[in-house]
Amino acid sequence: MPWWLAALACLTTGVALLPLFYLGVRAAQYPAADFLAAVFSERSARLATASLALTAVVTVLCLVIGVGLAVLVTRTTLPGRRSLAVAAALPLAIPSYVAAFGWQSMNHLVSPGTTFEGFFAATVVITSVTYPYVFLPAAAALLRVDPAQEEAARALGRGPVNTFFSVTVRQAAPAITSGGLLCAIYVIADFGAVSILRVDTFTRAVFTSFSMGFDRLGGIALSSVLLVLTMVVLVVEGRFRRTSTRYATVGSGAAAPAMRLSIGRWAAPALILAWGTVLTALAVPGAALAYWAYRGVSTPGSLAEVGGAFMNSLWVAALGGAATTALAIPLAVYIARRPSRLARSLERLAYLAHSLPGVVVGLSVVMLGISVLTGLYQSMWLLVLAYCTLMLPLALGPAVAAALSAPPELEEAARALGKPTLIAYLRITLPLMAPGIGSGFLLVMLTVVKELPATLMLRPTGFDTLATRLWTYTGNESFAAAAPFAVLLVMLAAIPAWLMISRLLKEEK
Amino acid sequence: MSPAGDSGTLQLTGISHRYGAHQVLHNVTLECPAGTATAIVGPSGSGKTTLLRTAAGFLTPSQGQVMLDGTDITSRPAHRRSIGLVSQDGALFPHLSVGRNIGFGLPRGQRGGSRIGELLDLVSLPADYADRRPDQLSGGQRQRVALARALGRRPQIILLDEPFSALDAGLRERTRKAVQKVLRSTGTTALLVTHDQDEALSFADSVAVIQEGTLRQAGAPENIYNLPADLATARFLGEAVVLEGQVSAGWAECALGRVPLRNESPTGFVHLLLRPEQIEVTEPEQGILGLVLDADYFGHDTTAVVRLHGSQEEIRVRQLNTQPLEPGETIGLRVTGAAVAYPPGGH
Repeated sequence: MPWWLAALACLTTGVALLPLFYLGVRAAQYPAADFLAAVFSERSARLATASLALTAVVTVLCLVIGVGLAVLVTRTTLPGRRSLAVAAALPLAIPSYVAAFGWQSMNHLVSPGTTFEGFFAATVVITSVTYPYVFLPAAAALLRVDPAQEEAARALGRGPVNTFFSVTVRQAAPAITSGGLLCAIYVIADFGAVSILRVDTFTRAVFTSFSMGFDRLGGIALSSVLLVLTMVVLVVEGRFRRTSTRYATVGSGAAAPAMRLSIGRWAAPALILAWGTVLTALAVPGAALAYWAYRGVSTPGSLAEVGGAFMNSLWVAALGGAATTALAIPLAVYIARRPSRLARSLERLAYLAHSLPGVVVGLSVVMLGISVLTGLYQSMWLLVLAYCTLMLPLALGPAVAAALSAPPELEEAARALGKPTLIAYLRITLPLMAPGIGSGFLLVMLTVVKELPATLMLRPTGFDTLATRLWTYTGNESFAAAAPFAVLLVMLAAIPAWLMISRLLKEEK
Repeated sequence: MSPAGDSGTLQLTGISHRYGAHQVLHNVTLECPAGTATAIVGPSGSGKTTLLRTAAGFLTPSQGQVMLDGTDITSRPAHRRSIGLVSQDGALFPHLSVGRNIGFGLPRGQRGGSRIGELLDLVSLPADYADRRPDQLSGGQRQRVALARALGRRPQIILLDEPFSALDAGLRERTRKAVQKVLRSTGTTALLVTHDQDEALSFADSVAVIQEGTLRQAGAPENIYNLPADLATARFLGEAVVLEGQVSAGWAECALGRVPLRNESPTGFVHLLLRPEQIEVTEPEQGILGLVLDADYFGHDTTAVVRLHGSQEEIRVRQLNTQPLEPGETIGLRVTGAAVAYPPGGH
C-alpha cells in the first residue's frame, strides 16, 4: 500500500470538507463573547423553538404514519398490501419545496384569497414527503425478523399479538429509531419548504442573513448551531443504524414466510386510513402539478425557458457528479484496501457531511469565495465545491462497496506482472469499480438537480436551473410558470426513489 | 525460452515476520537453486503463505533478506522483481479476455503478435482461447492461463500459491503434471506453497517443512519422507507407526522384532518410526503375531488397526486387498527396510 494513496485520500477528504473547516476558522475569529451572544440571543432562541418544535412534531407524525403503514404492509393480511407498499414509498420522489409549491398552488385554486403558510402548513407538507424515511427501513426491518424466532415465541405460549409486540417490533426498533432520526435531520436541514411556507427556522434565518445585507456574525453563529445540532442527531442515528444491522445478521434469514396478523373486521378502517394518508400525500401535489403545468406550458416561450433551465441543471449536475466522484475514488480505494485507523477516521469524516443543511455549506462556501478564493467567486467552481461537500457520502458508499468487491489479489497479480501499484489501480481496480462508481455518479447527479439552497447562494448571476426557476416563480406566486419545472424535478427525483423502492420489493419476495 | 545461464537462484535468509504481537515467521532460511522446484509444505496458519508473499515483494519482512542471484532485493517493489506469481484461483482479470490477460505483463509490442499463441501453446491450450473470457474457462484451464500469463515475462522465478487446491482430485494431478512439465521445459525456478504433503513430495526437487512459523526440515523429498527431523514432521508428512525400542550396535529390538536403523543412534531406549507400507502382512506362523481390531476398506487397500501380541502396542497397517483383513483375525507381521530412531522425550 503506497503512502501516496493515503496522502491522496487525505487530500480529497480535505477538499470536500474545506468549507466546514473554514466555517470553524471564521467562527473562531470573533471574540468569544460576541460569538456566544449571537448564539444565545433572543432571536436564536425563537428560531430554535420553531425549528425544534417543527422537527419534533414532524418526526412523531412520520413515526406514526411510517410504522403504521409498514406493519400493515408487511405483517397483516390487508388486501392490496403490495400496491399500498409502492404507493406509500412514492412521496420519496417529491422534493420538499416541490410539495410546498404543490400544496400552496392547490390552496390558491381551492380557496383563492387565503394563504397556505405557517407552522401547521409546514408540518403537513414536510410530513407528507418525509414519512417514507421511516416507512422504508421499518418495512425492511420487519421483513428481516426471522420467523423462527416468532415461532419460538408462539411455541413458548405467547399469542400472536403478544409475540408481535414482544419479539417482532423489538427487533425492528433500532431501524425504526434510525429512520425517525433521519427524518429529524431532514426537517432540521430543510430549507425550501419552510421558506416557501414562511416558517422562521434556522435554515431560513441563515439564508436571510446571506441575502439581506449579510449579517456575517449572525449567519456564522446560526450556521454553527445548526451544524452542531445536525451532527448530534447524526451520531445518535449512526448508533441505532449499527445496532439494526447487527440484529439483521443474527439468524440465517427468513426461510419461512413472515407471520401475518389476520386483519379481519379491521380491514375497512385500516384501508381507509392508510390509503387516505398516502393518497393525500400524493394527490394534492400531483393534481396541482398537473393542473398548473398544463396552464404553464400553454404560455408562449415557456418551453424554451424550461429547456434552458433543464440543460443548465444537467450541466451543473454532471460537473458536480464528476467532481464528487473523482474525490470519492481515491478515498474509497484507501478505505477498502487498508482498514487502518486513519482510513476509518477519514471515512467517518466524509460521512459527517451526510445530509448537512445546504444553507450551512452554501454560506461557508460563499465566505470562502469572498475572502479566500476571490478569483473563483461567482464562478461555477465554488458551486461545484459546495456540491462536493454535500454529496461526498453519496458517491463514497457505492465506490467503497465496488472497491471491496474487486479482489486485491488481482492488484497483486498485476504487480507481479511488472506493473507499478498506480498502473495496477488504473488498469485493474478502476475498471472493476466502474459500475459502482457509475451508480454513485448518477445518484449524485440526481441529488444535485434537486439541491436548492446552495445553488441559490452560489450560482453565477443569470444562471438558472430547474430548482432556482421553481423557487423564483413560486416566490411571485406565478404558479403556472413554476409548474413545468416542478414536473421535471419530480421526474428526475423519481429515479433514485424508484431504486430504493425496488430494493424493498426485492427484499419482500 | 529459458532464462540465461544459471540465473534464478532465490535465497531467503533469516526471515522473521510479525503482525503486531503475533510472530508468524521465526528466522527462516531457505535456498531455491536456479532451475529447481522447491515446495514449502505446512499446515494452514504455519506461515508458508507469508513466506511466499515476502518472496513476491508484497510484504517486507521484519528481519532478514531476500536475495536473487546474490543481489539483495528485500526492499525492491513487487513489480521490479522478475518474479511470476500464480495464486490459488488464478486471479485472472475478469474484465479482460484470456489473450489480454496473458498480454498484460508483456511489452506493448508483443501484446498483439504471436507471443500470446506461443504462451497458450506452452500450457497446451488452443490459440483461439485468446478470445475467451475468464468466466468461460474451467478451473484447470484458468490455472493454465494464469501460468501462461506469469511465464510471459520470462521470470527467473515463479511462485505458486496453492495453485491446485481449488481443483478436484483427478484434475489436480493432471494440472500439476502439466505445470511441472512446462516449468522444467522453461528451466524456471519454482517455489510452490501447499498444505498437501503428497503434492509437495511429488512436485518438487526439494521440500521444506514449515510448522508454527519455523522451518523444521528441508531437503530432497525421499530424504524428508524417510528421515524426518522429528516425529511431528514425520507424522505431518504421512502416516507413521511409532514403537518403543532398545538400540544396540545399529539395530533396534522392538515389538516387531529386530530392525536395522537408518540413522545413527546412541545405545538405549528410543522411539522408532516405520511407515505403514514397510509392515508386511504374512501368515501367522511366518511373523510377529497381531490381532486385527478394526479394518477400514478403501477399495485398493485396507487400513487396519492391529494389536501386537507381545507389547500390546496398537499400530496401523496398510495392506493391498489381495487378501482382505477382517476384525478378530490373527495375522503375522514382518518389517521390510529400516526404521528411524528418535531419542525419547520428543513426541
